[in-house]
Amino acid sequence: MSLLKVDQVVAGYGAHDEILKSVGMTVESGEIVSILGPNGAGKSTLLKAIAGLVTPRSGTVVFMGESIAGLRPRDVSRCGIVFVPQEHNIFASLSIEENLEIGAYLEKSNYKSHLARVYERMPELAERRRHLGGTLSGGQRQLLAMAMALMVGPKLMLLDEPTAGLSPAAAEKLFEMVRGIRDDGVAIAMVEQNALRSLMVSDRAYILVDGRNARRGSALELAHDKEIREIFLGEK
Amino acid sequence: MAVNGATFAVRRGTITGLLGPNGAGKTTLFNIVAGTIKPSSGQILLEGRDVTGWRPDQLAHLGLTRTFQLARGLADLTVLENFALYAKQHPGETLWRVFLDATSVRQREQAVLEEAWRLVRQLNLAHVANNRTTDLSGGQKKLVELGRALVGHPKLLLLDEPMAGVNPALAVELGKYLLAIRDSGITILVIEHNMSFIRQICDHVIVLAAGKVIAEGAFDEIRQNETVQLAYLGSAL
Repeated sequence: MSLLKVDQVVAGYGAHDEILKSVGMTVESGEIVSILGPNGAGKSTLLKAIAGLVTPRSGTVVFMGESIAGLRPRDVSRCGIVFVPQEHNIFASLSIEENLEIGAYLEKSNYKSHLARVYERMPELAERRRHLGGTLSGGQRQLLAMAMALMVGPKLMLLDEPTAGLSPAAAEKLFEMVRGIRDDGVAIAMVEQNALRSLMVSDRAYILVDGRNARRGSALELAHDKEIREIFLGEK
Repeated sequence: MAVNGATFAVRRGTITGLLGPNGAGKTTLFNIVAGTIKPSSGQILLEGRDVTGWRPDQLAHLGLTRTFQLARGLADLTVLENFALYAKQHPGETLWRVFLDATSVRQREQAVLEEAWRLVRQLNLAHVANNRTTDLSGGQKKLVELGRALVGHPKLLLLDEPMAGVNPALAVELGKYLLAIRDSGITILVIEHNMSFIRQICDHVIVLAAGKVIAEGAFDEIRQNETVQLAYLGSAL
């Protein structure tokens, strides 16, 4: 049984606006899965449909054997799925530790052990625990956003363009962190435009076009596919 | 102090890349050049004229336009309306001209719409031209931001991470388009972390760290620079 199974999901924002026309995907425990595709293909909407921020009009979303389609975001989070949005993902006027405390809102009982684990995994946040979120660099902000998500002890983390706006060095560091989080037992599904780099850290990938699955396969295979490189990565 | 003694020049008719680690002061520098922050000291010259401390609207009249990292589309307008609104010269805004000069008002409106459609197609947004910007994906919003800046035909265009969130294949196409508009006489200063994009379009690259220029030159020279590798590139290239 897959950790997550999304099947024939249709979803959108307005009454007549279908962004996802029929999308399926699976994520297995311990995997990193990339979701790639052109702008407006429905990648972020797919993450939101899993996280409960968009209610699928039809189709199924099953997590650890339980249907989660239509659950409220907080209930999806209680099931063990966390969503890290691309922007506005931390509280700039609060300290790092206060941000982490808010991250633990739904899982207060293990606050201390989760905090210790997060600080061990991300020592640069520990060093700056009293600093305000707004004083962090772009890369550190993304780290903090991921750390907040880890405070509920998730089994699956959904990342929406985690490296957008990061310098090459910071992006590289963040991808390493994604691998580290996976090694700690959290599966990852991430939307990325930094496609080649993302494929290099992923096990598998899905390519969406116009709200439907266009390609799927092992990340290595897709990274070496001539058509993918030309059409989706802009290489000639 | 986000920007501390930065000195550089942007040559007319070129595309110059402004690189640097997150927190280096790049966006603050844009804010200073575009007039949203007044510098504590130093000078900004635009075509030889001292424009230090000028307001953004005054600078816009001189032909300086900028985009923002977080796209700020006018939510209740469609993509096409966003583009049309940012065009210069709307004679229809003057009441007497609407009545007494209706033909030229109509002609100008038609020209603005045609220009807006041309840009919509160029930016791969034709299929969402009549959608409100709130309904667009993150990457599409960035393209609307770029289009609105271009529709006013600026002399100097400041682009703040125009390709963050834009699909790589489209980024290559947009790179070619920016080279074409450079050749048409528009000067561009661009902040971007997408190195293949920078390599594709930039004539010159400036690297900022801790508010100061630490290196400048052609992209291939810059990427060999050890200080730059350490401060910015890591082993990504």
